[in-house]
Amino acid sequence: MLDTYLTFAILGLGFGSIYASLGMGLVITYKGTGIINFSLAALAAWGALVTDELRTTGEFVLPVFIIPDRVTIDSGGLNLWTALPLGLLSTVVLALFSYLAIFRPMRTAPVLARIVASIGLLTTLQTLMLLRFGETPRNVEGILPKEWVTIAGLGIPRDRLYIAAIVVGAALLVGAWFRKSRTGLAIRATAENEEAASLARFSPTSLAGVTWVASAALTGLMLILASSIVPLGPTTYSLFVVPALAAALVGRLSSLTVTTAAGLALGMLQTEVGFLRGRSWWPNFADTSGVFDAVPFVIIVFALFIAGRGLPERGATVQARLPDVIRVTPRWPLVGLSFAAVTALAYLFSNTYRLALTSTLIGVLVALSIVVLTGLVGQITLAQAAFAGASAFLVMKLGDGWPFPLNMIAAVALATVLGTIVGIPALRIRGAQLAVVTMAGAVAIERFVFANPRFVDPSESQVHDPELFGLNLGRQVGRETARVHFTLLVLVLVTVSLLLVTNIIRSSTGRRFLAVRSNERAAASSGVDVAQTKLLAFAISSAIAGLAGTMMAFFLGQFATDSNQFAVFASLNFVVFAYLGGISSINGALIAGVMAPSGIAFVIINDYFDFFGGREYAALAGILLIVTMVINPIGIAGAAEERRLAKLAAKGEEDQLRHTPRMPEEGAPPELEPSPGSPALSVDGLTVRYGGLIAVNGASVEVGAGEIVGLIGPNGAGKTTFVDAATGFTPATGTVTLAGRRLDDRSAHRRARAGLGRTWQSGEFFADMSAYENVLVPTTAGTVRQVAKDIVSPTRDTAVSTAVWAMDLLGLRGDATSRPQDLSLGKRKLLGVARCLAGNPRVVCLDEPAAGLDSGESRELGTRLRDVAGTGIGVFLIDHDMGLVLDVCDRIYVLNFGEIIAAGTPEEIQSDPAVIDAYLGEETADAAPGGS
Amino acid sequence: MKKIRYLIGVLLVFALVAAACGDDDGAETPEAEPAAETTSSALDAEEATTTTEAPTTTTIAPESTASAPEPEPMPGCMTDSPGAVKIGYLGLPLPGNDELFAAGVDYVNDELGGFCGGNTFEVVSCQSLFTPESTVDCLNQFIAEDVVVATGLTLLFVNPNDLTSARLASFGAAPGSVPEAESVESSTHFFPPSTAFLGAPIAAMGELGFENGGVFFTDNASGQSSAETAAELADGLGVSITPTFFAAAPEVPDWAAAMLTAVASGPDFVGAQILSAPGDCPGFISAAINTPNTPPFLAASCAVDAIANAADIAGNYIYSFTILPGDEANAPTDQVADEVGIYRNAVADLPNAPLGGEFGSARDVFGTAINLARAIESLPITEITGDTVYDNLPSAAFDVFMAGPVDCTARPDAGQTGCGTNMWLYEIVADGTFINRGLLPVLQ
Repeated sequence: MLDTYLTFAILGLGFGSIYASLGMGLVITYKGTGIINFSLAALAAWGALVTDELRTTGEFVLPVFIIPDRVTIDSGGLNLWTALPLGLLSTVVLALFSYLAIFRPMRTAPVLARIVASIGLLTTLQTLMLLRFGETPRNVEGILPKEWVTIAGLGIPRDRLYIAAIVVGAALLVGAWFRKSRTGLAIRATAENEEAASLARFSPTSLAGVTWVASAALTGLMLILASSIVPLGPTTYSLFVVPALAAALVGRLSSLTVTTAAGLALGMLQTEVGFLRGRSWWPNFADTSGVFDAVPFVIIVFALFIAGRGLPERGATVQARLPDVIRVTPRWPLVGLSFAAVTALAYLFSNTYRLALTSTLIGVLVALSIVVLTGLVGQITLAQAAFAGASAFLVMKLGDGWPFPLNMIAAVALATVLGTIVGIPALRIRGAQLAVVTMAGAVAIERFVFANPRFVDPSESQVHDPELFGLNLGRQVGRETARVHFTLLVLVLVTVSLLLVTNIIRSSTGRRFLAVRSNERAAASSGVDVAQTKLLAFAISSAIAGLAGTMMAFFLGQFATDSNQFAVFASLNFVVFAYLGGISSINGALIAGVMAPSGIAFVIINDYFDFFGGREYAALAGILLIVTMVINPIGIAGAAEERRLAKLAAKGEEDQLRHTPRMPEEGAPPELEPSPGSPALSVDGLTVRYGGLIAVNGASVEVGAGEIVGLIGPNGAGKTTFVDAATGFTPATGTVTLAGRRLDDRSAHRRARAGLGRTWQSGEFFADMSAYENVLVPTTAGTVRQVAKDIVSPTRDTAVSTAVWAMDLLGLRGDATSRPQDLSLGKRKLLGVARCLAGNPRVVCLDEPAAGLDSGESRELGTRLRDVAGTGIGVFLIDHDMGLVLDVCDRIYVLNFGEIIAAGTPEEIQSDPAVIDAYLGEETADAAPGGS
Repeated sequence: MKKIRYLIGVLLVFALVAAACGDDDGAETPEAEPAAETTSSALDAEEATTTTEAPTTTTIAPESTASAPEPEPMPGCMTDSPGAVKIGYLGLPLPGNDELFAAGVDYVNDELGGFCGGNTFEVVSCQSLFTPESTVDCLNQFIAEDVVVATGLTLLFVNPNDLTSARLASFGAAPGSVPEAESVESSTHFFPPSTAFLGAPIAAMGELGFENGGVFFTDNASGQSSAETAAELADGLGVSITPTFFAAAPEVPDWAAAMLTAVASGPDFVGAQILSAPGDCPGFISAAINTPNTPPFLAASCAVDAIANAADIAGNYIYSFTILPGDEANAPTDQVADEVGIYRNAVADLPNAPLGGEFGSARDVFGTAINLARAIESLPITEITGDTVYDNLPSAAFDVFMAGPVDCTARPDAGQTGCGTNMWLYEIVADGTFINRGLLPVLQ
């Protein structure tokens, strides 16, 4: 039996080599460009298909649409050594073109935009291949010998061993090239820090192009060699992207050897599982191909989440934000008119257009779910189809035992729970990595649950029509295949969902969403529970997706297990159209629904352009997406909003569009409860270790109510680390007590809520909100009750007195509607303090608020700080501005090499020999208020 | 650490290459066991040219022994005012399918002069996008156009309940998956019921003396359901089977691993009753050739690939829903023999013969319109409407194009909608011809 297991393991080297090849390509691309290239397999497959076509028919296929696409070189077919270089050249040219035309212009676009563009490229390439080479996978004449060889009694096909050897050899060679060659070094440097690499006279753009093309060529070569193991087809290799990603993530998107090993191991494991499924002891519920697909997901989650640190982010120079979120106030007459208009259309349309309208409305729901999660909170998810599918699944399972709308509510609840669970990885990982995790999760759910006959019996997959008070609301009754009842049902649900999401956007919950989207650290320091906020967003998003899934189930009347309706590529399509429409706005969701497959736009185009079929529409959508991403990365709705904003800005009325809340006239300082004895803040024995390095060693500090206490020290003394540790942003030992309550066992946001506020050296603002809105963020608690109220009736909490007081105290009233990034440095510093004050702190820790200020601004800051202290709030000031510190502080601590070396009044500190030695020296004599 | 990894990698490369270049004395390609005695005559083999992918023009087997007959008008029902009978066709975006279907319609309308006294078919065509939504839209169009029947291979995306609700008959492939279709009454299809295409080949292998089979099924809901049905049927037929699952489209199966899995249970034959994706036949046969110790196999309808690899797989079996060209002498009727010629002539005029000329497509695509016309001809109706067809089609009894008579009324259960159909078992000969092993039992 052992030899059988070994044989299967070695057989698994075949698929494992393909996973490893794709994984290597993904790693190389990521190192050079920072992009996870979902289209890599398609680029490589193109070259493999061209090669095979040259060998069999002698025709060179060109990657073009519409115009003649083939050139006959030799009607008898070419030999391998002529065909192979031409095929690879074809891939190289295609890859180069795609890089220059698409990804180079998008280098500073948001991560999501680049992911979406690569998906658009994938869609376009697949369609091109389908049109040029047909659907039928080809069994390619093998390049590697296929005969079996016997080794130690085991029969093994040679080609598996050869391909594994080639893949491992390639990994070693390419890895060595990265380490030893100048170009490889340059690529690694660029991956760490583009700016520094540019200064070292490396061109990140050129290097990115090199890696983009090289990865496609290398992967193409591997696929050509492996094409005797796996039939070669237009869509074949795209399905391997999940296991390839799993392998790449195990290699942390940086190590080629680990990625290769992981890919090979994954292939071997999958083949073993395939064999084990036939064993009598294998559990019945796991007797499905989906068990294969759950393996990469588990690996991905483990690699990214359980193992600890997220992957290193690439040190990009500049990266654009997601598009602005446009907040609108519902104008009820307009809402009513729109509802009436769509209702009229539903009645007036022919059946075909009514079906299209219904599909459009369902598409709006799906897109809206993506707007909530990605547009508002910045979380990239590729699992929306899985959430929709879970909902449809439950509706089917409940049968007629649960009447409508109970079955719908239960189904939406299931989707919500599932979405919340899928959102848990988002607490530790973000960006493209989160996209990968959700994608893998969606594949696992789809294959292991939806396609598992143990859970879904195809003979019992019918979904009963919704009925309400005896009225059948189903789509079809008899020969009425597009009943208006169902369309109106969907319309009502869509309208309600749109209004609820609009409420969220306008409310304090929406502000917290935007805060998390803009800057998670700053959000935590403002008292926002980032984890809870993200999970809430996942829950709301998946609920809306679940609602869409329920409507899909009612629309089709069945849960079609083999239709790929809820497959991961459906999720990709949803994201594509949502981004195309505009990811950050309600209007974007409406546009996405109109444009989605089977929606109104498709039907209209199909009616007027006879040559349009589904495949051509997919190609058009892919091309349109790419063009939009390059020219206009913020989507159609976003671009329209920007044009309107520009016009209003020209008239000085841009606030009208942004709907930024107005600041009320008066505010009031916070009423601090008297603390049971001083000090207000006591930090005792704080120690921070980074591995073997002790950054802060047993430091102790006290700050009294209404006192200004300074912390100074040379560069690298550990001042910011001290503040990070005290406020919960860095793990540390020691105690932190605020007004008699221990805080050291609390998370950062809870410390902020308890009254320990802080500012950031780098500002850390919420760029998506106005100055006043920034200050409003800390003022609401985000309780369940608050959220529920916001969804139904948004809290009009713009009149928060402490926020108004803080803005006035720091002289920012005139800048209330400006964006932080539009303010001067000095005002940004003051804004950070104002935001901190608005959260009712007892003590505020100010991390270098004077950095970069001129003398006048520094003096003004000092005055403001005294005003703050005058309200009873303790101020803990960390700064290099000696004049400011000596001028305003009541007491000063001095930190050097992580240890407090002195503490006392400014006069005592100035004359302390240890301090003079370590820090002050000549500077003391020259120090004057406002001097640096 | 990196150096150690590098060293391990280099050693691994050498080990893999050394293993791959090793002696292959012990590895044997499978040879079929001696076939059971046959009572049918071998076929002549004049031109057994083949391809392994969709050819432009193909000669699958020797020239037909019968010349293409003069078409005769169909006997049967007469309608008072013959006219155009609309049928809905759900197109499949594979090269040549639409043309082949249209060729069948043209044959009925032009060569046969229509049916039931001169009625002709008018096709309402709708392209399936392989999505349920587009299929709903197509059905919507069919109903709006008052078609009497829905046809097309992509009926598999249709919800059979929608057809029932609309009282729209379907003809040809099963709507939805086979288990779905069999759970819904009244829409008619003459794709054979599970009992037929699952049980009959197993019974045939049993009659040839095989007792224990490793049988392949697609690894999806339909395949798993089929595996359960097949296992029950096999038990009743005195053959035990062990299912092995291979990845269903659009996923790609590892055929070598799947074959080894099947072989590992020690069967005395391996079988694949449904190989519907275009790459499945070549994959299965290639794996059978290359995997050591593979016992004799039975493959579903893989005539083209069987011919291409005949020298390596002589003595193994395929089954077919139609008489293969060259085997007209064993056709159940002269008409069937003639129909082989008719089909070959039709395909010869088409630039893209679909699916490599597999004879499943002959029946299911080209033959659809012919079979439908014959089915309607057999109905006791004087008016051809959606309602009359829907109510009466389950009682159709007609000669299936290239396959012989079928009686849709002979079903074991009232709820079962598939009609029985003929299937033949063929043994592959090394020169690319086939030995007809006779009709498979029509299990209903």
